Amino acid sequence: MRRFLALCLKELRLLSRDRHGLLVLFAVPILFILIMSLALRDAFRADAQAEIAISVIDQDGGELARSFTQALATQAGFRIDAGAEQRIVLLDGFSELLATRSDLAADYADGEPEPSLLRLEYAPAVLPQLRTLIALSVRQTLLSVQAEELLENVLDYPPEQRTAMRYLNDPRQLPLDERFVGDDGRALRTPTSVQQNVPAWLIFAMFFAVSPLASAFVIERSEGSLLRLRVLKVSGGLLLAAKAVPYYLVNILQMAVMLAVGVWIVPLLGGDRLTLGNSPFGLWLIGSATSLAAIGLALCVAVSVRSSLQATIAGGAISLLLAAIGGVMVPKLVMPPAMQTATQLSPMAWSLEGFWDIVLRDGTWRDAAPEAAALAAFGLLCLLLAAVLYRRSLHSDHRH
Amino acid sequence: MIRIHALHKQYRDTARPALAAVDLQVPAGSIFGLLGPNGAGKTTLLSILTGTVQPDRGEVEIDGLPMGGAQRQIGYAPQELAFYPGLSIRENLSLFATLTPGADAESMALAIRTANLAGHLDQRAGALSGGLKRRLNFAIALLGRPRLLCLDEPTAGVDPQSRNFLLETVQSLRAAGVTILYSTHYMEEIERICDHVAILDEGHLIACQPLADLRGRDNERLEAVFLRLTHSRLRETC
Repeated sequence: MRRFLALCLKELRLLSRDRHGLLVLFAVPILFILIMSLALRDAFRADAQAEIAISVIDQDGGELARSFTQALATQAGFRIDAGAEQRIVLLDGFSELLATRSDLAADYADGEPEPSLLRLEYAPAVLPQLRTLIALSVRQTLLSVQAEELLENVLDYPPEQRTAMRYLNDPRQLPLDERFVGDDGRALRTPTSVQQNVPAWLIFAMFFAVSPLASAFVIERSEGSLLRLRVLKVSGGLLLAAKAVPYYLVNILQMAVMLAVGVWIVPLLGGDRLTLGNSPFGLWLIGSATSLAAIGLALCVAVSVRSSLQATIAGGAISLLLAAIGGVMVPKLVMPPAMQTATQLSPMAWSLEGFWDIVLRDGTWRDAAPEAAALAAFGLLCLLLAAVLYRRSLHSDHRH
Repeated sequence: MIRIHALHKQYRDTARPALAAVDLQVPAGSIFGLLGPNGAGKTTLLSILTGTVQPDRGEVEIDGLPMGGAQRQIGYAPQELAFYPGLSIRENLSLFATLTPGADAESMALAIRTANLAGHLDQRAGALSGGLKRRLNFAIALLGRPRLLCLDEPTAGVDPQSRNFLLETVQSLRAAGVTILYSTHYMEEIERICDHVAILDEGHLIACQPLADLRGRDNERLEAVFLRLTHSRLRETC
């Protein structure tokens, strides 16, 4: 036990003196949390109304063109902005074509193509979903303007009857009950920006321990201290355990610091406050399981690489790849369905789900237990593999 | 007395053995010089003695005990600077004292005195001069009060003063009854401190004699003897 504690103390001393390692493990993720929580604050709000800036260029100048512009301006989700990249050009003849005319069918009976009322102009980088949304909204606004014109000028409905048909001439008044539900139909909350980003970057930080841990191991091997430990009969198991425990403590400290940043610092800067749920034990459980997975992976990398440079590159690349797949860098919610399924390949995604069970869904430790079990199994498998690789590396060492 | 009999070791993916049926006897209380070109098998021999490499065949006895039982009596200073540059001298010694069987506060104090490190205990090991680093490497090997000390190129890269200090210290350890296996490329060090010399080349033991016998009646320079026995061909090892 004295040997184990001495090796743990050595590891903590070395880590506490490694400024670059501390920067990577603490400062960088905190900055990510602050930046991403604030930058994505509005995008993640469940009650947020996405507002699309759009400019309207009226080449027609008719009454219905003005009605259309007014209707669009009051349409929820649109903001008329002369400098916007997306433009609606109301073409000359818009009002005449939109007006309800009994002779319209005769005009185009001979198959002559119907002229356009308007033209939609998009910036090249516009997302297809946004194009669809704009086109649908424009069509709906056209219909409501035409319905209004029909009721008022053609059918000559009195105002009170038009009010009774309010959904026809103003679909915005149609009340919608929107809610987020899970696969089982149960109502769910979506994460706020801080609920997405604090666990996500916390998990990333825990996994980023791969780099300093692997580097420290490689340096230990190349500088001969590992050889000295072997001469002193420090077994591979003791050696790996004495690395795992200090890094577990560091991971738990990372978790405490990052959660504190979400609870106290992000709100100070104008972001939402992180809610921690009702299960401190559940947080500890999923944090510990994440740590086990991260340390197992780190030790696998550590015993596999041969140089400090390889350790840094491999550690960084693996962490970034798992983060990209696992919904840390790009939130899972905005991924297409196939990619959402692919997130399950990354232990970071399991961990994120586990943290959400606690901080988002107010679950207990039992809710996070499946993800914790998967992470623990992954970690133990990696530790086993690391032990095998370490043993093999001892036998393949050529020393003359 | 160390008795090595028919010791054989071949690493995987190598064409020739690192050690081929080596027989050797190291008298107790002697400084035994181990010479050989690069790739001769010196470090493999020391690694087997210290238990970090398992031989394929052969026997090693130390004071009549098989190797496993005697390894607590062995101190080893590898040619690499085998300590933690991020820790101070005191922290390194304290760590390795905890890990070394038989080491205690008294043996740590003795190692500090022997290697003359008292004035530098709180200095970070990575920031030490080359000579101090070698002395720390040496001191760690002394922590368990070893009866057999294996030193692998202990003076590589140090200034003449530090080298002189280390050689005098090795001689004083012999005077205290410690047996020393001393591997080096510096012939003048062997000539200065060793009683016996073994020369290894490509895994084979090609000479093992008292130093005076090896140099002959003409008191030939050791380097000349060495080059005559091992030939002057360059050795490329990987």
